[in-house]
Amino acid sequence: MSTQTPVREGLFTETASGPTLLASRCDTCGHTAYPATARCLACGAEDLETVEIGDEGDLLCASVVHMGNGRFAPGYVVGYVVIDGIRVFAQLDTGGEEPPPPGTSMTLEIVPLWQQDDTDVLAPRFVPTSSASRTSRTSRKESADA
Amino acid sequence: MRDVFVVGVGQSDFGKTPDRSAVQMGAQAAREAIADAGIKPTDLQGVFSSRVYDAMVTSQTIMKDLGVTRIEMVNVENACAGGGTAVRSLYKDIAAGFIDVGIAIGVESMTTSPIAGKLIPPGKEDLDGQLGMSMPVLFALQAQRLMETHGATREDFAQVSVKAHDFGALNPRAQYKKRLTVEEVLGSRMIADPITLLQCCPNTDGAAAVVMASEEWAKKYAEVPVRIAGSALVSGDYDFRRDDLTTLALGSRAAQLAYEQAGISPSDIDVVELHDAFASEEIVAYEDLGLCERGEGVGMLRSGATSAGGRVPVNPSGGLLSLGHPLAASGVRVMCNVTDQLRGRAGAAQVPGARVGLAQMLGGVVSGLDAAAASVHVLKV
Repeated sequence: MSTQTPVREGLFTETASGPTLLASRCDTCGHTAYPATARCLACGAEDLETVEIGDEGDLLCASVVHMGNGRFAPGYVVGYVVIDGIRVFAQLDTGGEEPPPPGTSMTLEIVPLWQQDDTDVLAPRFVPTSSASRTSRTSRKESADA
Repeated sequence: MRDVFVVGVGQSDFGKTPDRSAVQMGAQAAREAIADAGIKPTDLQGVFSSRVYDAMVTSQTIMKDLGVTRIEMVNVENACAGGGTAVRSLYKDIAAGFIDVGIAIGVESMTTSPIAGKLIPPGKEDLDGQLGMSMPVLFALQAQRLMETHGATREDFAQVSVKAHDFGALNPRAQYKKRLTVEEVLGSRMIADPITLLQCCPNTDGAAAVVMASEEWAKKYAEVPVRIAGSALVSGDYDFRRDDLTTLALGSRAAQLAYEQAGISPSDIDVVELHDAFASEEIVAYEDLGLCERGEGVGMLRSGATSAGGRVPVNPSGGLLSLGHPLAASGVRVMCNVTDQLRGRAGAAQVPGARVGLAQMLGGVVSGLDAAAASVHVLKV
């Protein structure tokens, strides 16, 4: 059985209704940042709260990367998904198909993206909402917990 | 502040040459620039060198073989903008009156660096990098937006590379002196869609150097003194402040500062050398530098305005795409090329009657910022 570790603490969490990304929201100016910051990047205030920004966004753009980089084999897909006005860079699961067009609704999943020292590294990934299902994401979650 | 002039330029050949050390290439470029300036090496009062990989005290190591010791020497790093940063640093020292004459050197031996044959690796703190971001990926995603919002086509991106290689074929110092067709560029291996291999600059070994001086020295030594009318170096801003991926706002801010100082508008520029590590970013740079209106970059490329014989030829040296990209050397190399253009010494790539030129360089990717650094210098005769 392999162990698991998030790529970075505080990026995401599981809720009763599925995974969500975590952001910081400034009490003073309301600026929301992902990944969360300790200090507001917009106004400099230090009173921030952690907020869930959910698991759904719109695809801004995507690219199929045809060169490996030692960690990911050629053919991996990346893109920016806009959630709560924030551009989030992540890998996309397009089921081996060409990426969907800009504007496509995307859903978050938390998956083991690579292995490091026999440990699965968990990271956010997005899948077109039309092909995402709670069942599959939950089963991933359960298998991840197993 | 005093006026500052470029009085001598030098460059090593660019190519994959692991048998030449970074110091040998730096010394070659420095010797050439010093000879071009008509000064003695011991006239130098300050040295700024830039290098990303991989050793310390590059300035002192290069200069000791030229008989230059004891004076103030500084070694700077600012990723691919390091060369532009060395130039900017020397500019400030001369403008402020600390010194009268000095040299800025950029040097890189990519083939002997720890990243030879690899992508520039992400830092441990770089979340996007950990998840698969890299330079080609960043520019591929930007190119995807150019296709969506600007009507850019794959052929447009390929045309940037064709243009660069048309110019590079005229430059005896280019790594690739071969012309290409749009079909060849599009038919090369896909790297990150839509960027193909022949739309990526090669990693290259090479060095470049510029000797700069106060007006008094320039009048004494330079046949055609080239004045640095505007000099700017800026750092990236938080990416959340950027509405649109099809701009690198720091490049735009650097250009505005340089234009203001020079008292010119972008339409006064006759020739440009800029960071074209990936073909598609050149279209973004047209807009960021104000060479055309926002949204008109693709049209500007298609019009031929930036090709040979156009209104403002861009990268008549062949650019990074054809010359190759020795990281820290490129920011100094663009100064050499623009200076040669303004002195009428650019050979087959000469832009007739060029009197105002611009040298730009960008450097570094940091998660959360639009990029790390941008330098812009406006040169005039």
